[in-house]
Parts: sequence; structure tokens; C-alpha cells
Amino acid sequence: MMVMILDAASISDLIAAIISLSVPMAFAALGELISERAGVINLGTEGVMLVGAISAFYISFFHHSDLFGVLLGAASGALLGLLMAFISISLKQDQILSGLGIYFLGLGLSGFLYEAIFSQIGSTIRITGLPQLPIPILSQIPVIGASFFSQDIIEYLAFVTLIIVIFVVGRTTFGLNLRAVGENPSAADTLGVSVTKIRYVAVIAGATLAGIGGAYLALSSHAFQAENITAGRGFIAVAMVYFGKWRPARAFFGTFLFGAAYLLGAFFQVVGSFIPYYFLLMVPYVLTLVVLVGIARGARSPSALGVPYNREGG
Amino acid sequence: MVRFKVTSRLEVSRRSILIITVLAYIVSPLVVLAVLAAAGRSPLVALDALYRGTIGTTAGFAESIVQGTPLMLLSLGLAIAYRGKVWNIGAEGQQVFGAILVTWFVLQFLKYPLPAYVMIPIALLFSLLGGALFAGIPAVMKSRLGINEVITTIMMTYVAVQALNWLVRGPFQDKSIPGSYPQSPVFPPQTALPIIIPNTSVTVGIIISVVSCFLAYYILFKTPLGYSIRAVGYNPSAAKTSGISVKRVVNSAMILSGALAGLGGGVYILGVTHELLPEQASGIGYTAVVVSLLGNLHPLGVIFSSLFFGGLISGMSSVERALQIPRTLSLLSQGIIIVLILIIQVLARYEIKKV
Repeated sequence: MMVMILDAASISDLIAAIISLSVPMAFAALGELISERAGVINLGTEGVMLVGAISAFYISFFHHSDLFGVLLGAASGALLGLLMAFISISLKQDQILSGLGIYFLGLGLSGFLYEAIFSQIGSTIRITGLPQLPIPILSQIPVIGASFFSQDIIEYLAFVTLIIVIFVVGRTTFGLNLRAVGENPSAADTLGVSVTKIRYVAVIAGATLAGIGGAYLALSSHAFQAENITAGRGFIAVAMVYFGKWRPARAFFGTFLFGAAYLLGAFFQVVGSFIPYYFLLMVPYVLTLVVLVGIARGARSPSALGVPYNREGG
Repeated sequence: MVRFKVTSRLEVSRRSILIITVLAYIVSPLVVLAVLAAAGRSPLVALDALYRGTIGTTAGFAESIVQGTPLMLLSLGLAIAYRGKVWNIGAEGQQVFGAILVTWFVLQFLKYPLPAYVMIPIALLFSLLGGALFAGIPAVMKSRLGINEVITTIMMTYVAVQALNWLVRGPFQDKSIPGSYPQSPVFPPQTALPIIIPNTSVTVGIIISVVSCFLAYYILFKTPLGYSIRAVGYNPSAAKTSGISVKRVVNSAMILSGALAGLGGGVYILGVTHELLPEQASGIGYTAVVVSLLGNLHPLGVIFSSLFFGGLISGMSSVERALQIPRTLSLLSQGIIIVLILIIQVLARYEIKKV
């Protein structure tokens, strides 16, 4: 297996696999971006993804509806987002600590639900996963067709969400208010924009997307073998917002780098290699560190990021 | 309709800190019992097991101290870092790396160990060094490049855990026993921390931990370094204006907290397991976040909160045995406790008035 001959079919399989591995992080990164543009850093994303994953898996396994699974994943994400918003915006607790709280809650909740629901069933639980939906004509294009236009509905939704986020953040009044609240909340407040309301909407919307990301991670994995299925993907998504310098498209496609890194690990696990397997498992995390160092200069975060808003200025 | 207004207090009184701390201590075991009740288990049986696993029996009491010992060092480190608003979440990776360096050192002297009074201090120095080095990378990334330390410390933890998994199945693996168990050779007795309470596993580690807390109290409240850490945590821009180097504070707070986490990992491997196991990464570094909060980020508060949590861990494993419940229940309780503490803490900072 040292020499691999890549024909068109295997290249498009490869791209399709990378997309599938990236989409969970891509959703989470878009969600985090919305939240951060409004000035709230949500480190609970990892926990939200975990709860989204277990919710979706539960529905898919017992009720055989993947779409309702994704819906429940989104809803549970929204609920955790509401809690995050309450603690960090209304109570003005430190955002980092609030996010950590949500992370630990999600970790505990998903681990507990995993064991409570699935402990009797067996070590590996399989589900069918979402069906592929090839787009007519476009899916016939060589290489690109099979990799980009022959996916499942959530993968298409990821690209649609990207376009919506770019449009809403950049081109709408709401997006303008969102950015104003993230850059200069007291000025926005003076102009009659409700900082609290905008931040609540942003945090909840962001967590909803993270929930969908988690749900898709569970459904696309086909089998649930571990409590901690996300393995840091939520935190990588947060890092990708930095990598993307708070621009939606850059953050979104940044996650594809990590999809490729995960694929590399999975590939060598099957094929075997002279590099110890555990080093391959390190690749996504080391890559995150390297990428963060690489982009550190010149990145400018929203000015009010991480700062709870006090009208009195205290 | 009655409306409430939340306003921030300028001064947080000692009394309100005391009240919220007591409240948090009462809430934590109640959460555990409530979660058990919600899972359909008898809280009374659980309460009995919790009692026997903590202060009800000598074994339970000793186990509480054993569990609380490394936790104290890890939480102490986090408390110092968080005081300076340096969000080190990687205590888990730092304690693992401390234990890895200890193992490397001990393996050099496996056949012909030096006397205990040489082996133990050097091994502990290696654990300090390991934690400090491992925290040094995120420290520099934060102070030089302004990279969010939450992300980097978590990424570093994943790297440390995979390194541990590799080492116990590779270079550090005990090849002398048949089969391939993921573990290092058992350490020679010259590296075992001396036991201070006969017939238990309570070692000199608890003394090291408590002394470290008092030392940290002194550093944090009586030295210029401690003053700058607290000043940066209270108001970074004001601290900067008054001439404090924020970069230096970030570096020293992060490295100090990493060193203490490494020491915690060292005390655990030399006092409890006496070999490197994959279970060295048991999640204690995450529990320490909760414990440091429960200790109000105060070095002396951490003594109580870590012993309390050591008791909770020991008690929970007794509950798990008695009720045959999964370990994840403790994880869930931890998650709920941290969120509740975050909410309770706010109560001290704000006044709620009727308007």
C-alpha cells in the first residue's frame, strides 16, 4: 500500500469523506462566529455538540428518523445556548467560566445519557445514517460532481447555512446590529439597539448550529462507540473562528483542513503505517496549535469580545 | 408585577463570600442525591454509602484524603492562574506530562535505584519541571502572540493523552510480563512516597499539598508577583497603566499553575499507582476546575474544597458500588455543580432589589 494510484473516483471519494468529516466542525464554527461577532465567546461549544450528538443518535436509533434527530440536536443546542446566554449575559458571569460550565454540563449530560440509554444494548450501536441525495445533472460532472453534488441533506444545509450567515451578518440590519454590539455595545445601546436581546439571539443561534453539528457528527459516524464522540472538535471549531479572523467563509473552509487531518488518522488506522497510530491521532490538535501560531499576527477580534455589558459602565 | 433590578456591588463583603461558599458546599452533595433520585435510585441508600465512603469509616476517610491530595495541587495551580484571569484548562495534560517525566526518570534507575531520600525529591522535581514545561508552550503563545489559552491548553491536553497512550504501549511498556498490557514496569519501592497514617494509603503527599497551599497563599498575598497576578485579574488595563507587565504575569501564572499540576501528577504516580498507566489521564484535571471554583480561587479555600471533593469522589465510588450505578453519574453531577456554583457566585457580586 505504499504506492497509491488515485483515479478520479478515489479523489472524489476522498473529497466527499473530508467534507463529511468537516461538516460537524463547520456548523459549530459558524455558530461560534455568530456568537463572537456579538461579543460573546462561547467555549461551551464542545459540550453543546456532545449533547446534540447524543440527542440525534437517540432519535435515529429508537425512532429511525434522522431528520428528527437533527431537529432534536438543534433544539437541545438551543436550550444549552439559552443557559449560556442567561449566565453570561443576564448574570454577567465571566464568559470563559460560563462556557466552561456549559462544556462540563454537556460532557456530563451526554456521558450519562449515553450510558443510561445504550448500556444495555451492546458495545457498538449502528444506525443507517442519512441517505445520499445526488443533485441531477450537477452530480454527473467528473470528480466535482461525485464529491460536492452527491451528499446528504445536512451537508448541503451546511453550505446553505454558510451563505445565509455571510448574508445575514454582512448585509442585513440585524447583522449590522450584531456587529455593533460586538464592537461597541455602549454606542449601540445609545442608538436604541438592545444589547441583551441581540446577544441572546446570537448565542442561542450559535449554539443551535453547534447542536446541529453534533447531531450530524453522530449520524455520519454510523456507530456510537465512545462517550466523548466529539474529541475536541468543538474547541477546534472555536480555534477556526480565530483562524478565519471572524470571517464566515474562512472559518468554514478552515475546518476542512481538520476534516483532512481526521481522515489521515482514520486512513492509517486501516492501512497501518510506520508512524505510531497515537501520533496520527495527535495530528488535528498539533495542527490547531500550529495554525493558531501562524495566523496570530494581524487577527483582530471584535472589540467587546469577552466583556459582559453593563449599562452603568461598571 | 413585581420587578427586580440587579445591580453590581462595588465591594464584595466577606460575609457574602462566606454565605455563598457554604451554600455551594451544601448544594454539591444535594445535586448528587437529586441526580440519583431522578435516575430512580434511593437517595437514602446513597446517603448511607456516601457517609461510609467519606467520614463514616477509616478506609473511606483515608481514601478521601488520597483522592483529595493530587486534586489539591492541581486546583491550587488553577486558582493561582484564574486569579490572574489566565484560563488554564490543561491541568490534565500538565499532570500527565509531569507523570511521564517522573516515569522516564525512574526507569533510568529501575534496576539499581538510589536511596529513597535521593529518588523521591528528584522524581518530584521532574514532575514539577514536566508540568511547567508543558504549560510553558501555551504561556508563551498567550503572552507573545495573544492566542487564547483555553484552546491551546485543551489542544495540549489531547496531545499529552495520546503521548501517554503511546508511551505505555511503546517505549515505557513493561516487556517482562507476558501479554501486552498498557503499563510501565512497577516502580522500585525507593520511589514510593512514605505512608504517614499506618494501615492506610495516606502518604506524605498530603503534607506536600497542604504546605504548597500555604506557600501559594504567601506568594499570592504577600509578594509583588502575587500582587501583580491579582491586579491583572482584577483589571488588566489598570494594572498595565500602573506599570505591571501583563506578559510577565501571564507567563508566571501559567507556568506556576502547570508546575503545581505536574507535581500533582507526580504525587499521584509516586503515591498511588507506582507505575504509569493509561488511567493517569482520569479526568482529574477537569475536576480540578470545579474544585478551584469551590475553593473561591483562594489557596486556603482550596485545601477544604479539594478534601471535600476527595470525599465526594471516594463517597461516589462507594455509592456506585452500593447502587451499581455508572461512573458517568459522577460526571453529570460535576457538570451540574459547576453551573450552579457559577450562578451562586454571581449572587455575591450583585444586589437584587425590588423596584
